This record gives sequence, C-alpha cells and structure tokens, in this order.
Amino acid sequence: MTRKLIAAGALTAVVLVQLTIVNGLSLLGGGTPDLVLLCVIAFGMTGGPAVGVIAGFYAGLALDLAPPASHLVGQYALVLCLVGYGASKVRFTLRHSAFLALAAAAAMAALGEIMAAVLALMLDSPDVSWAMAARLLPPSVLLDIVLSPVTLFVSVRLAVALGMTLAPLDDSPVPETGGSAAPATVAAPAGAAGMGGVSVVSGARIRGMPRGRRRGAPGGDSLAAATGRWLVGDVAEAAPAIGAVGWLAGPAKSRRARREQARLTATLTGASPRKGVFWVGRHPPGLVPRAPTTPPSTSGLARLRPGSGVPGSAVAIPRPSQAGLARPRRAIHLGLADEQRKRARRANGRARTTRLAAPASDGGARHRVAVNGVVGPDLPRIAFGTGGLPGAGRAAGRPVPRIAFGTGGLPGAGRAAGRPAPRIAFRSASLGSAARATSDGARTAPGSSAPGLRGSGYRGMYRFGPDYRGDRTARVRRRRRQPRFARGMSGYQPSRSRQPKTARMRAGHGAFRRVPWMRRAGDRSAVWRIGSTRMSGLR
Amino acid sequence: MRDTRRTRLLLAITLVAALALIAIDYQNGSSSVITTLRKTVGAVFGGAERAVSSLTKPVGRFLDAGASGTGSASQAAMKQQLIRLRAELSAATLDRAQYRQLSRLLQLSGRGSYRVVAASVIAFAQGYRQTVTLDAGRADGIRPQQTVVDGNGLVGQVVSASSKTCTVLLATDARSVVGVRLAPGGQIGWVTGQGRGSAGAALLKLQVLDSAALKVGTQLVTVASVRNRPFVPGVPVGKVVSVRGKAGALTGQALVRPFAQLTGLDVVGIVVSPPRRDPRFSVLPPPPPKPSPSSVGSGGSRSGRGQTGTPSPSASASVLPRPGQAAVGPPQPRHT
Repeated sequence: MTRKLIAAGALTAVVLVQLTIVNGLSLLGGGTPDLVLLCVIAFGMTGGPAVGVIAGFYAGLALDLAPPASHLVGQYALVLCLVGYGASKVRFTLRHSAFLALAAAAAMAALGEIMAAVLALMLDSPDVSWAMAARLLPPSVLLDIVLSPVTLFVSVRLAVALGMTLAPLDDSPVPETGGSAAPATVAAPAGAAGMGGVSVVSGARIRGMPRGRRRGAPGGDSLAAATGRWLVGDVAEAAPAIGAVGWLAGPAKSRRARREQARLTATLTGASPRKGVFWVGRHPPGLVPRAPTTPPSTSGLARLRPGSGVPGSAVAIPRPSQAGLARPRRAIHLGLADEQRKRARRANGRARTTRLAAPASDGGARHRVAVNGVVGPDLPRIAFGTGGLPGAGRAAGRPVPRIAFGTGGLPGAGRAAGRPAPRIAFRSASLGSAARATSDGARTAPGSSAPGLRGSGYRGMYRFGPDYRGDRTARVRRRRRQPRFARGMSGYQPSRSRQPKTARMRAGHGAFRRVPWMRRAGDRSAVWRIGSTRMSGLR
Repeated sequence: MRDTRRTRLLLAITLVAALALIAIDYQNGSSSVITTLRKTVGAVFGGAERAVSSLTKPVGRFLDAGASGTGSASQAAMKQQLIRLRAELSAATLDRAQYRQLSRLLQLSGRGSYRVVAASVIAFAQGYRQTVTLDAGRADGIRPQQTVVDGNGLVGQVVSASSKTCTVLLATDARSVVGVRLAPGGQIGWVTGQGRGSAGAALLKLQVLDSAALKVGTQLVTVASVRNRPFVPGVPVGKVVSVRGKAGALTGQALVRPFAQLTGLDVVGIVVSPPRRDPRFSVLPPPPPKPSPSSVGSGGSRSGRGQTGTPSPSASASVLPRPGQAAVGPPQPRHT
C-alpha cells in the first residue's frame, strides 16, 4: 500500500511538474520533453506489466483531464497504458546492460511520442497536420532521450529503496539468486490453492517482494534481485551498479562488505554454476543464500502428498494447523541410505563439532550440512531443480516435481513455497541427528507417495504437472530413444522433443478461453519459453 | 512481475476504457460523463497546479529578476551578507515588474474602459493544443467566452472555467478565430492561429476580404462579437509583418505578429465587463517617434518598454498614415 501511494504520488507530482513548468518552457525547436511518458516507461520497466499499465492509464487520464487540457479525453490514457505495457516487455534489458536499457527506454519514448502524434493526427485532423507533427517530433524525442536516463535512474532507485525486485525469474535468463523469487503465476495451482490462492500469491508478487525481510540488510537477496544485471555489472570492480552492489552503494568499506559484494556480483552475473541445476558436494562458498528464513526444525523431507501442507520440501515452515499434528515421523529410506548412514556414522564426530561451533542464532540451514549427517564434500548432495539452489531457481515456479536427495540441509530448498507441486525427497540422512530431534521432522504421507516412487521414479511426476495431457504412453515410448546417460535428466526435458512449440495455454482455464485469437496459437507460450535453451534451464 | 493472462486482461480493460472515453468525447464533447470527469479531476488538479505554481513562480521570477537586474550584487566576499539584501532587491524588482505589467494592464483597460480581473498563468497544455490555465475562476466572475488580454494586446478567450481556475485558448492555437478590423481603414477580416509546431507558430494568419488594404505594419483590433462574447471590441491584436497576397485570390492573406507576448505569459487580465462604447482604435500603442534627429535619444528613453519586449510599432512602420490614432489617441504618459 505504501508503495502504491508513493508511486501514485510520484506520478501525480510528475504530471503537475510537466503541466506547470515543463510545458511552459520554450526549448529547442519548440519541443518539450514529456516527463510523464518517461516516468511511465521507467515505471513499466522497473515494475512490470501491471504497474506499467496502471501507471500509464492513471498518468494519461490525469493529462487528459487536468485543467489546461482540451483535447479528447482518453488520448493520453490510451497511449500511455500501451507504452507502459510495452516498457514492461523490454524490462529484461534492465538486467543486462545499461546501454541496452537506455536504448530500450529511448525507443519506447520515441514510440510513445509517435503514437501520441498519430492519435492527435487522427482525432484532431484539421488542427494538427503532418507538418506540425514532423516539426515537433524530432526535438521532443531528442529531449526525451536526453532525459530518459534520469527518470530511469530515479525510478530504479526508488524501486530499490522501496524493496521492489525486478524479479529476475520473469523474462530473462539471468540466474536467480537463491531461488527465493519463484513466481507462482505460471504454476497454476489446481485444487487446493484455488483462485484465491493464486491471487494472493501473485498479488504478493506484484508488490513484489519479501516484505521487510532483509530490507535493511546490506546487499540482501531482494536487493540483489532488485538491481539486476546491468545495475550490478559484470565484474565487481567495473560495476556500474545502481542498488546493492556498485557505485550507488559506494565502495565496500570493510572486508566483509567487499566479500558480500563479490558474492552478490558472482551470483548476479552468472559466475555461479548457472548451468548447474544441481551440483554435487558442498555448495560453493560464495553462494550461500543468506538468511535461510526457516527454522531448521522443520526438515520434513518426504512430503509426498501434493497439496498437503506447505509444499516446500525440506525447510518449509510448517503451517500452524499442522504443526501440532502427530504424524509418523518416518522418512522413506531408499537404498542410498545405508551407505550414507555408514558414512554419517563415520562422520558423526565431525558433524557434532560443526554443529557445536555454529552459534544457535546463526541460520540453521548453512550448518545443516552437518545436521543431516551428510557431512562435508565427501558425500554427494544432489538436488534436481529444487528451487533452493542458486542458479537452479529457474526451475521454480513450475510444478515440476522436485526430487531432492538428502536435501534436508540444502539451503533454501523450501523457499519455493506456495506452489502445489509435489516434492519428493529421498531422505538419506542419518536419523540420529539433530534435525529430527528438534521438532516435527519428516512428515510423510506414505499412501500417496508409494506409487510415484516405485518404478523409475519419475513416471508418477507427470501426474501433477500442468502440461499433463494424458498421453503418457507416448512419452514413455519416446523416452526410450533418449541416450542412456540422459536418462536421469530426461524427465525434466520433455518439452523440446515431445511437444511442438505450440501454445500450451490450457483452453479450459482463464478469461480468454472463448476467444480463439487470444490463445496465441502457434506462438511461443510462456511455458515453452521457460523450457527453451535460451533459459538453459530444466524445461 | 510476470506478464500473465491477468496483466493482459488488465491491459485490455484499460485500452477499452480509454477507447470508450475517446469515443464518448468524440461523439459528444459535452456529455455528462466527460464533463463530470473534467470537473472533478479539474478541480483537484487545478488546486494542485495553483499550489505548485505558487511555489515555483517566485523562483522563476527571482531568477528572471536576478538575471536582468542585479549586476552589481556579485561581490563574492560579502556574499553571505548580501544574500538577504539581494533577495529583497529582487523581490522589489519583481514587484516593480509585476506592478508595471499590472499598471499597463490597468492603463489599457482604463483606456478601453474594460473591467479586468488580473490572473497569472499556472499551467500550460500538453501536446499540440495551445491553452493555458489561469488562477482565477468562477469565484472571480470568470465565465467561458470572455476575452483575455495582457498589457499589450489580445491573448485569447476563456474556454472553460472552474471555481478556482479557468482555461484560456490562446490566439495562436489552430482552433482560435478572432474577428479583426484593420486599424486605419476599418476593413474586416479574421485572424487564425497556426498551431504549435507550424512554421511560424508565433504568428497569426490574417485573412481580409479587401486585400488592397493590406500593408506591412497595419495594426489590427478586435471586432466585437455578438454580445461581446467571446471578444470585446477594440482590443489590439497585432501588426502585419508580411503580406502573402496572391493575384486573383478572394481574400488577402497576411501574417500578423501579435502584440501580446504569448510565449512568455505571466500576468494577464480577463475582461469581465466589456466597455459600453466601442473604443475603436483608441487603445492602440502610441505612434512611433518620427524619424527625426532625436531618434537615438527617444530610443533610449523608451528602454522601459523595450525591456518587456513589447512589439511596439517599429521604425519601418512609422511612415504609415494613422488617421484614427492621430485623431483619437491622446498621447499618454507611458512610463509609470
């Protein structure tokens, strides 16, 4: 609410400044810069489609109705809401390079001016002529381009100050930082979550952001996500950054701050193992997501009932309704566990020392490496597409089932909360560790889990995905053609080979299901886009 | 946030709303939806514009006064002591400048026996329209279709008025049409604006039926409209700067430079009660000095007028016969 008010107030102020001051100036060639247009572009680029559309409509209507206006009501509203939407379409540039973002903003400004001129030509045709438009457009566009860095800078700065993220997941292949910002909008929750759940979750994503969480932290994850790539730069020392890392944050004064900046830069620039939807062994030391936000007590690993409780796998916060439920604290042990148990027994002393060395107030997830008994780099820690692995978060937001081998300690493995996708976790920990002892640990719904786990281990997953169309036999047949070494991963890359690049917007849902041309048949749908190689993600 | 079906629905809704508003306004500009919207939003934004311009106008005036007036105040050593003095000085010059504008306004209105409400410009229109907002409204007696003048001549007409603000269509707007009369002969014509962005945006286009009367330097005054709305009679409009006569054309065409400073408007007056008697040409600027040996000195003595950029009759126009001016206009002291 505060953000909305601040944004509306800023827009109103810009409209007033435009009307009272800027329009009265006589600048070169008789052109005037359109601050309102630039502000709408900047809002759309930083805030996203909904913000851009609403800001554009509001500002345009204000320009149409505020006193000196005598043109038709709705002209600027039409132009500016289109421009705001278009600006949100090019917002991915904000994370790549400053020049690209400025060029995109300039292009949108020129487009907006041209649209306004064309609309004026159409609607006020005797009074406005082509000659007038052709004479006024170049200086106006030039002034807009000159001023657009200022508005973009201010807008991004405002967004960062307000704790907004640029949601790196959305439309860019930039790796996610810590997997915390999984948008729940694509993962259309069926059943239990329902529409209310969707609106709540996605509404929270509009404003964006983890409220208050880590807002003041120097270079917290949300800030890092807010700044994006060009705001951070490709390398730390040459970082022309706006936001958490770089020249606006100032040079790092302490060693700790420098380390933090290096970590953020590495995270944001893809220096992390971005292809790694999994990694083996310990997490890289620079990539520990800060503030695990979840108590270590809730290491309910095998949560195999879809829609039961919080679907985050390992470190999800238990819902209060379930916290008190007495459930069989029993994990599913698969074959791996024997070996692991052996190793864990061997490493038990080390684990205990680690645990003791860690202060209790420190985030638990970082040290739950030891807690689960999977100690050290000698044991593999594999997580397939769990939203928690940095770089692997692009898999989040989609109802692909997660499989986490021994992910009790994987940092942030449960932060892709709010999605109804089932998690399958093979708990392989030594059960004598502290995680189980702390609170309600592994919660299991054995009945529903068993069929999915039997067999090859992923055949049952398709039951839960939104893309499930019932042609599982065809999938099975084709899956055999895949190379053997890819067998383990093949369950995660079905889209390129199995289904054509047609739209997969489901016809049964949504507002446009009766309108055939809204389905964008044959176009790349959002589902496909995620799965493209451009995203280099799972699917 | 991601571009989802929901945001596309939002975009569709806003587009449809904007198109619907355009269609309603295009169909019937005085429909209740549009007028209600304009009235409410105009009240809110008009008040806000008044507030903003009351904050920013003094700054601009201060800068103007500082740029024009105080040359000796740049003593770097005594800057801190001088700041207050300079502020006072510029305020004084500001007051003087305002007073000069106002007094000229009153003088003009006194000569034409108008009753004029003074107001300042607080906002300028966006886009191709040339309209401004003044900080006087219905509470001050302003109604639509009243004449707006500044100290030098015609500015435009009021097109809409709310309780605190009113909107003025400038004479240079493409929609503005003003009936005029040529000064010496009284030929009737009309003057239209050319619109923002056109080649001579600051000039007006004059069309006269009798093209023989068109000469460079001819001055124009307004003709009374029906019941003096929107234009009262006798307001000086401008001066012909170039004649674009075509042989065989029905009307003579010319370009007119308006007397009023339409690009740097600040204090203007709205004629709320027109003169009872048509003042004819008596409110035109005084005749230019004769090209006599004292021309240099008279030019120096008239520097007060030159500062404000009044488009006074220049030396090139001085040879023109001005019978009406000579007969009616008594030489009045221009300097206050």
